[in-house]
Amino acid sequence: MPLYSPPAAIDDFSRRPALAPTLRSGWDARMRAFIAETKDATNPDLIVSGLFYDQLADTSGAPDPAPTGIPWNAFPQILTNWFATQPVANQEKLANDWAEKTITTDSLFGFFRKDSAGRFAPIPVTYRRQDEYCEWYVERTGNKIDRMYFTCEPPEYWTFLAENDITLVHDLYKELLHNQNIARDELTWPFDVYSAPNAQGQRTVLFKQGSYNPWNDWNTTKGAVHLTHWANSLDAEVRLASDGSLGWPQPAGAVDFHRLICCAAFGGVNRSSDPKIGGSVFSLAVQGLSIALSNPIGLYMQSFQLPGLRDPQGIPIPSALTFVRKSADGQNILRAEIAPPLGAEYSLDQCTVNGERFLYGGQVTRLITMSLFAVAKQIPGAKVTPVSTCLSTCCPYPTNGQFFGTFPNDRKTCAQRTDKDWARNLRDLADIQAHPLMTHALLLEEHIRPQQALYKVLGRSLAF
Amino acid sequence: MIEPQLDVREIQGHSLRGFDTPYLNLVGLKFGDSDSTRAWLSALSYRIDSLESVHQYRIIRSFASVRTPRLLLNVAISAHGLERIGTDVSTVEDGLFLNPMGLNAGLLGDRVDASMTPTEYLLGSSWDTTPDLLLIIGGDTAEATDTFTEQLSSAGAMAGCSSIYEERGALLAGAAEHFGFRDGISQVGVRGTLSGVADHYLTLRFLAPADPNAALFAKPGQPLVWPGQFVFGYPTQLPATPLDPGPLSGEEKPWMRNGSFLIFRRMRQDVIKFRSFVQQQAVNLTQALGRSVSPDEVGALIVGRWKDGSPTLLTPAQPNPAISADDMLINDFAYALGTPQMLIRGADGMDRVIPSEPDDHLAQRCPHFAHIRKVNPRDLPTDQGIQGRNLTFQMLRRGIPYGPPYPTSTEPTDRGLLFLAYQTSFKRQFQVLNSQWMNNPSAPELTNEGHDLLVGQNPAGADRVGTLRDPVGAPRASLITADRWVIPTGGGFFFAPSVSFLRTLN
Repeated sequence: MPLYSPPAAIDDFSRRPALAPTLRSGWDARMRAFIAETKDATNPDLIVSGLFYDQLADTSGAPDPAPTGIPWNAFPQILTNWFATQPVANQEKLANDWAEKTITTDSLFGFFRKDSAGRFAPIPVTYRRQDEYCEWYVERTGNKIDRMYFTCEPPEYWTFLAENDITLVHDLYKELLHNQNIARDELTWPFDVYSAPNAQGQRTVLFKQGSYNPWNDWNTTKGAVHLTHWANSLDAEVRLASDGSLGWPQPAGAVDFHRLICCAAFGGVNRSSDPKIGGSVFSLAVQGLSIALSNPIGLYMQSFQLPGLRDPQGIPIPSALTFVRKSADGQNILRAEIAPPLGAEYSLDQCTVNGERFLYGGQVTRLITMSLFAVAKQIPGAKVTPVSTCLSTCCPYPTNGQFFGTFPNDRKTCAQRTDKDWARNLRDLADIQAHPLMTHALLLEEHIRPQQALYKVLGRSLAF
Repeated sequence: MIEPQLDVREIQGHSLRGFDTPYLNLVGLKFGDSDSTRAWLSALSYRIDSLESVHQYRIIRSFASVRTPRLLLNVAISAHGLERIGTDVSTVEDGLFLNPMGLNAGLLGDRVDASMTPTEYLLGSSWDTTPDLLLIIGGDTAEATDTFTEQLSSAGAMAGCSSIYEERGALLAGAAEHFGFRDGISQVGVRGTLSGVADHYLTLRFLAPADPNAALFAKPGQPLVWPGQFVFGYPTQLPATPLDPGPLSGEEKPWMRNGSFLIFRRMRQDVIKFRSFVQQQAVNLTQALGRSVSPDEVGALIVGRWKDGSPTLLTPAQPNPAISADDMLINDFAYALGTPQMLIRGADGMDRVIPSEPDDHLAQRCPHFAHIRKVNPRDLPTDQGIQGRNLTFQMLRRGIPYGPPYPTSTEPTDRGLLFLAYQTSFKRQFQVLNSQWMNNPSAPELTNEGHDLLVGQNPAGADRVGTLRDPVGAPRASLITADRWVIPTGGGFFFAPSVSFLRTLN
């Protein structure tokens, strides 16, 4: 029986030969569970799609065609949109600069720890604001750039590995970050992590003390091994594909991707990825095709080159770019690294890329095309699940018409949207000085109301 | 919405208006001593044809029954040239402009050796072989254009300049390029007025005022774009709100105001190889598709238009002269959503209805890999974001063929296109179109959608592939080649300054 492989069919499991069969079947089960979640009719936050199927569980007999790849640019479009009304000369630099700054929040994830007195306090979690399924980390010593890491590995895979063998994860961290001094307990939670209380005031343990922490320092402020943004997950990808295949109320004919996502709220309207993925899936669904994500399910950097990367003497340094983890055919990249060649006595900031000083990872990310792969076919008897009313609507930001917010379809006009309404849309921009809305007072207010999650992270969106 | 008044006496006319002369010579000069050069350029500024001058020439030419021969002159200066004459370019944040084209040849997809040095360039590998100054000389007759060219070269020599490049461009019959395809059909319309007189627009507006699209299009298929995309100091285009003026381009550098970036790429065309390919592929596709496919149809699939310019999206089976002869129809198409009905203002109040056209988002009439679709996705959402972003990548193309036309001279002769295009950001305009889309088989619409088989570049020995697909994406037939028939042979990145910039050099 075929099994779902890890992203890019990367073979970490063979490092643990005795455990490998368990890992293979366990990962397969994990992927099938993600897909099965999209069929849970009891979930009030989900509309089950009649056209989204599990590729490996399909018994229709209809053969799968070759996968269709859906591309998008890796650089966070949300930042491009946010700075679009800044002076032209500053736009790129602002976006590049802010893209690398992490965000620390003690409210978004709803994680709590119990203190010695038994009281619950929110746990600050740090994540990267790079939300196009590609994240990068720039390793600096002072102003010198030593190395850059680019990753599109989903957190679920690493969590899965850790659940089964934390030492494997530890080994990989040390290897990928070129640092044998990473301690294992730096990768784990030092305490139990609790949820916010439910309506009955009860909390559950989300992570046990000693279990893997996907937002550990070595994956956030000191390095990058896998994705950290709240929307960057395989689960979100699966959910996005399912939601995109619903029968959203749209005019007949070709699909307006922006209008669709504003209606469906299946992702971030300011992203490159979500409108493209959801719109592309919907375009297949309106033809009556059933859609599945192609095995191995993942999101990938498409193989790229940096012919314009040169050392301080202007000599090309192609060996500076390595694809550390990738598919067997080398086309789908999970992890890339840029570093001066071995023995070089210069740092990356002394190099140039495409004729400009190499100062930001964003200079490379803008050149990366991301892809995911789906298959689409006619399955006899499969029917689209109609959705009669749009879930949401979009409004342009009052002082920047290039940036949009998504709001419930509650018949309020854009002019009636309040600062609080906008706050959810500005979650990843709260710390950027350029905007006036997310005031310190508002942040404090959220902090002192820890007893309920203000919103839910749902797939690629923050639900209302 | 108020469009900006363009400084018609400051902006050089080739950028926003185009010479459209039957002959266009390019001369590349290296500067001698700085003082002599500055004095000469300052004097030359009085001979530069501004937007006002070129506009008048174009108007008179279109109405005059007897054409008064004119000679038109514009200039552009490289970053190296600007530094030679004392302009600090170090704060210009565009790595393509700041370097000879050869430094970024690999990025552009041009053939390079192991040290990333271009192997096919005749000019532009280094600053030594990149002109400091590009003279752009247009004329109505070959003789007059050549005579003027000689005069200018002599004047440059007297100022201490030396000539390192010279090329003669000439329009071919039917406004075609060397493969036989009518060129330059689709250009965006630039917003802006020529004077304070109401509705005195640079770009003629053909849509009736009552048409709801009149604020967005000059005519069917010609969207209006804010001038800051092409000339510094003016509002740029905003992706989500095309009617709103964006931040000014080049605002922080007064010396760039009313100037433009200009890319020049000398593109050799191997007509024999192209013809051989389309003939072979006609046989291939006839077999694969089970119907007769002509070489002309293969060419049309590669380009996205038939040779007469009629788009395959509107007329997939054969060229349609009724469309190609009609400026209101030839460009009236859009891939994602089709085009709405439009009303063209007519004389005596008799407006003309241009019917709506269907979309082709499934690429059944214009393949994903077609050249015009790859470099101008129009209303398609792309890997770069919403469809409104597509207009921010467009340039103003002013190229002209060089070399003898193919039937006249059948031996492999150097012929091709002098590609010239104006913009205000090489890296956000030319580079996106060239490297992110044209040379990328996985953009702008689909992963592995195919290479641009007309102009796209591939590493030596690597295949370029374009696959025809059915509506659900299943492959029907592929065009595959390791050959190229458009070979970049060098060029440069330049700045075409304002008239005042030149005048105040001395």
